[in-house]
Amino acid sequence: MCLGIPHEVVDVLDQDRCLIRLGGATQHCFIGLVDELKVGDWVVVHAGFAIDKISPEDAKANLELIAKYLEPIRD
Amino acid sequence: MTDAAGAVGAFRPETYKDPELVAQLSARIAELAAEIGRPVKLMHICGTHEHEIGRFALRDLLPESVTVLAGPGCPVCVCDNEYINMAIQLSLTPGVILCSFGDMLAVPGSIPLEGERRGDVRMSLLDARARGGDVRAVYSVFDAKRIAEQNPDKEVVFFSVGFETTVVAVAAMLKRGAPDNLSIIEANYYTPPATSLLPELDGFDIEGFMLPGHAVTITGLRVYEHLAERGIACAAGGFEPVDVMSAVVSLLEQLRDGKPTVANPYQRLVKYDGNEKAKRELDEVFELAPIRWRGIAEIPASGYWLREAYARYSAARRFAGRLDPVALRGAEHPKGCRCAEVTLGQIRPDACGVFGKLCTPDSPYGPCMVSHEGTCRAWYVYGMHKERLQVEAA
Amino acid sequence: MARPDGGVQNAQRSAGGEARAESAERTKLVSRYDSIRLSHGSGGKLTLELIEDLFVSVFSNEPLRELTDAAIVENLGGRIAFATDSHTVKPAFFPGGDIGRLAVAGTVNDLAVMGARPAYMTAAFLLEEGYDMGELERVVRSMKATADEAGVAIVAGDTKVLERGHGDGVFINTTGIGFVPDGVQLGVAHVRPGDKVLVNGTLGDHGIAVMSRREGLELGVELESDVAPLNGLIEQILQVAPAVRFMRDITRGGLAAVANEVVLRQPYGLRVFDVAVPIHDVVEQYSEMLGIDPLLAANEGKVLVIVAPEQAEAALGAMKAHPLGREAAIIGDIVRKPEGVALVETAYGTRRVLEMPIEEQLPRIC
Repeated sequence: MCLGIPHEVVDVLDQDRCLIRLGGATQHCFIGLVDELKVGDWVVVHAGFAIDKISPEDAKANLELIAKYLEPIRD
Repeated sequence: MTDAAGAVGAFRPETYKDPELVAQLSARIAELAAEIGRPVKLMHICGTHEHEIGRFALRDLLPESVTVLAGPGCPVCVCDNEYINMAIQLSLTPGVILCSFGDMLAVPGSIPLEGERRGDVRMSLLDARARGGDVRAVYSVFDAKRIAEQNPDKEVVFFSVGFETTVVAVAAMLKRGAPDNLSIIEANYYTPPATSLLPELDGFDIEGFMLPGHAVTITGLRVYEHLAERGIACAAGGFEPVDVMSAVVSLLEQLRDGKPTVANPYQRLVKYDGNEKAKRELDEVFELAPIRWRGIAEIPASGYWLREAYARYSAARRFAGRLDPVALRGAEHPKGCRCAEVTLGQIRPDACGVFGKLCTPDSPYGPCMVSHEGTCRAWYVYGMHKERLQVEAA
Repeated sequence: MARPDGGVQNAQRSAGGEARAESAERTKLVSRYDSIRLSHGSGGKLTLELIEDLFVSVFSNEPLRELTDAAIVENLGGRIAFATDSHTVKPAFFPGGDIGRLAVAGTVNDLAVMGARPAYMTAAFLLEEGYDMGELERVVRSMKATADEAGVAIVAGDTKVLERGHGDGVFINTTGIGFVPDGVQLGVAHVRPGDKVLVNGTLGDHGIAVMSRREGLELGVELESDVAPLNGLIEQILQVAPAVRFMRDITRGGLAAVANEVVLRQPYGLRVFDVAVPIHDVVEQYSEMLGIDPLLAANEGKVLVIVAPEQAEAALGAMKAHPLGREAAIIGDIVRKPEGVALVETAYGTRRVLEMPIEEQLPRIC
């Protein structure tokens, strides 16, 4: 239902298109559904278009959440 | 915790594949399960989740008392026969090019197939192609648009199947101007109402749902509050092993504390109100109305239909005079196929009499085995119906 | 053991492409006809022209030049290995190779994995009326270049022409003869628990390259197929690691197919360590998108080698020292149990079955 792979944005071409890269491969991506993208942002790509972006703040928050999950039980 | 991510805030996809984190989360799950002290049944509703689970045998990292079931997560499997039959008819219509995702090509509808003697097999788009239909596999709706632009003298029909994540691209494409010779078969399904149906079923004992991470990226988590209100825990699940395990942790915590809510372990991507821009575009082009889920039921407000302003792109409308209405009918799976029950998580794939016998991935009988999102296919390919492997080295 | 007809043991992968580029002079035939006619297959004057001006001229060896009904070749000693295959890949030309290279390398590899030194080949063509002569010449030159790389001679052949619409451009059948030295015994019966499983490089390249091209996927990177004759590499391995139990080239169905073939009805299993399998990043990503497991994707130019544990490092060293084995790796081992099963041990310490692959892989929905 939802295969989506994170890619790094390497060039924003216009409102609707950008270049994304993962590992060695660069390709075009439709970004009409995501606002204010800049180079260095990450987007999750599904069937040729970006469904949303991963901001550094959200990435950090996700890691902190996992850290919280792993705190030992305090009785 | 060890900073497996490297620089603070920098996103690295590898973090969410990290075996060390997965092992730690597995230990945490065992602790929580022991605290809860009773068997717990959880359910996910995404074929891609079942694939990740199968590919990495993640169920083996859960304690005996925690079960994760596969629920309705396969848009190919719930796509009603009517739309397949429509696609087949259109592909065999002169002057029409039918574009479809690869998965849909092999799914049987309900048009009888002459000469076929195996069980109750009906026509699929592949059969239509073998009979001269112009059927093309595409990777995205943008490919179909390109084909329409390259073939101005033909009608190009895109078989628009998929859940929330997939339909947004169609909306975005149509909103930005599609060629006049392009139309779509509306077969996109909206999942949340189906999750209202599940608790009504006999024997429903699911205590928590792992929500499909990319679908909720679009729709947000608010649309699942009805489940939490019924006392069912919810957590957005991403698709890497760390994400799957985090979602299980979140659900168990909620159950331990008796505080069901709609939690967001997939924080890096999912926002509580989803992608506003995507939602707006979706809402501009499509409206929700009842649609029949194959072999299950007609569920209210669960199908995406083109609004009047975009209705000219509806293949059903455009070809209304030219389709054989009788041949369109059909709501079931082939005789003996229990895909509907598998889809609802009521039975395991291997409880179906044809699983692995009449129905295998190289000669699939029903959609659950055809589709990459189908539970039966995942089980067969990853051997999940077999005994857990015990390895004895030399 | 003697070498057949002066072939250059050239292990460079791109030799085929270079040879093609270098031959600025077209054969006489190509200058005269731009496509295949029905009469090119009828056995008369045009057939003779086709054979002499294209096949003999390019393949260029004594037995072939004599144009007898059968080629008489030297018996180079040992047991005879004999293989055949038919080829109909679409598209006929793909990044990294073409149907001609595939045909020659495929048969050479079938012989080489049996421990044989490939020596002679035949090539039979079924050409569709209207097939482009220039393209045919490119295919034939590619076959010659690949044959030279492998040190084999294409000594006999046949040509038939199918009416337009009754063929698919070009079909090629190849057969090959090789000679197995005394003492070389390979087979699944020799495999035993504890043996190590090696591959000579990254998996899935060919399948993903062909699939992505066919689906018209716009990839930023051109994925190249890895089609290549492996007999040189295999010779190196056997020299330093004679205790090789079994080899098989990994083609359609990928590693999963070969692994299952090895364990079928045998009193042992085959375990693959996920993290040890070499896969290009790009192949990994695009196989996710296409919904194809790289362990199941087609390969060309890759071989699975099962060797006694004490010689595994030596075999690995021999592979890495060869241009076609730079990314070789030990990817798994043979286990006592479960019997008859190929399995994957994941990065997470869990295990799953590696099932025999299904046929047609279609790109998925999302």
